[in-house]
Amino acid sequence: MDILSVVVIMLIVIGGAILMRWLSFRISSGRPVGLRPLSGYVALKTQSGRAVESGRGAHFSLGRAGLASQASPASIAALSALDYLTEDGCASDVPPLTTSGDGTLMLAAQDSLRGAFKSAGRPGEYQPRMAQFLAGSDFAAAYAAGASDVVNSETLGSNLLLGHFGPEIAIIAEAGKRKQLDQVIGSDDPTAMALAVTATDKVLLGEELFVAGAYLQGKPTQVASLQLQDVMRVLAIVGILLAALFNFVVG
Amino acid sequence: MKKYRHTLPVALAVAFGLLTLVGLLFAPTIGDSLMSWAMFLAAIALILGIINLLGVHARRASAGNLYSAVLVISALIVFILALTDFLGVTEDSVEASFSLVQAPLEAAVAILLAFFLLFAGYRLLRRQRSGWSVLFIVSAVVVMLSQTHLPPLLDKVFGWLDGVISDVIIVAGMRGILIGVTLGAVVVTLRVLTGSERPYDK
Repeated sequence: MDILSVVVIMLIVIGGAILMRWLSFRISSGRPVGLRPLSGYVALKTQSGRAVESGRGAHFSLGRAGLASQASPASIAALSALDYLTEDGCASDVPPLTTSGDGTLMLAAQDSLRGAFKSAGRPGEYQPRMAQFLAGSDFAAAYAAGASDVVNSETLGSNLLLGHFGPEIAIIAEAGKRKQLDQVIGSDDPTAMALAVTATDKVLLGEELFVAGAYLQGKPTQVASLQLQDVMRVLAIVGILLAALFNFVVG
Repeated sequence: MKKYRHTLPVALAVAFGLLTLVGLLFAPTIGDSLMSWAMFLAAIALILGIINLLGVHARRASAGNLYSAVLVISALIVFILALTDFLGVTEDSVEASFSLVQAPLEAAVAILLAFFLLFAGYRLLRRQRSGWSVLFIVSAVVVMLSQTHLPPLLDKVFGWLDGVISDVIIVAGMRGILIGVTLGAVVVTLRVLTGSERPYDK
């Protein structure tokens, strides 16, 4: 790796970590932060209430990117959302039925459910099959078929698809649509996002998926990371404009 | 000991995360070694996933679900084929079963996507008759028409429109989304590296 790349990566990591700590400290000391409402997270926040009222739980699919893969940030963000839902769902006796397309994700989902049941004071009610493995991450169609089967065969109130999905998301969303389930979809893949828009209004587009923790749990470090994301976005825009200007002037 | 139940995993995760980063930047062999450890653990997780899948479907098969029974039987057949391949009784039978069964089925499901898209677009127009949904459908129709055989004049017009939509509007939008996704991924990575995001510690 060339020196310039190493310097840029180190600057992002060290500078970003310091800035995130500082922002987190500011939020902890009571500085108010306003978050613009995102329809996907508004729906996720009311999910448990609706599940209790209808007696029908949610199907939460975590996608196909393992924790050791390049797309793992999308899976980590999805796990943050799952933590929030399992906490509420296990306390209200309607835990989400979780599916995933990778073994590491299945284990993380099982861990989330086990922890939530333990926190709710009912560790004995946890069952490993509440988090199901569907297919290996290379088999998108098999994963879609498995997830659609779960949507079709279980008694559900909503279909939540957050994580790394490809075009196969259309098949799973179609199954949810046919059963008239409430759907929230978030992916880091542009094709999947385009397909999701045709299935539901509650779509988490691009970077919106990565702020699940800030919107659902709202811990200072999570909100600070959202602010850091905004700072980095402004820097990226300024960088692109300067590069374009430089190219235009110098040729 | 209870005190270390939460701090030890965090300390280990942060230490290995930073070591992998430093390794990938300055000593690729260390970074590659750590990545291969991670891949090995992911492979073990895959085995646990398959056990979970078989457990769930064996239960459903015993309750009379035919599809689950087919899944369990297919998995057992492939396992037996892998065993006979290993013992030298058969040769490349697992690969043959994949190319004869799995690959055509995957391709068939992939082709279905086109129909799902068509219906999804139609439903979008019915559900939400806004300017954006009309734009969505018009763009899709223009791009599809540009891929078909048309009279020369129409071919030229639709070809030009396709070029503008695909090479300018879509590329610009995709790059914007990808920059956003990259920034989000960087921030999540930073949270994991600093120990404030802990998917491994509930």
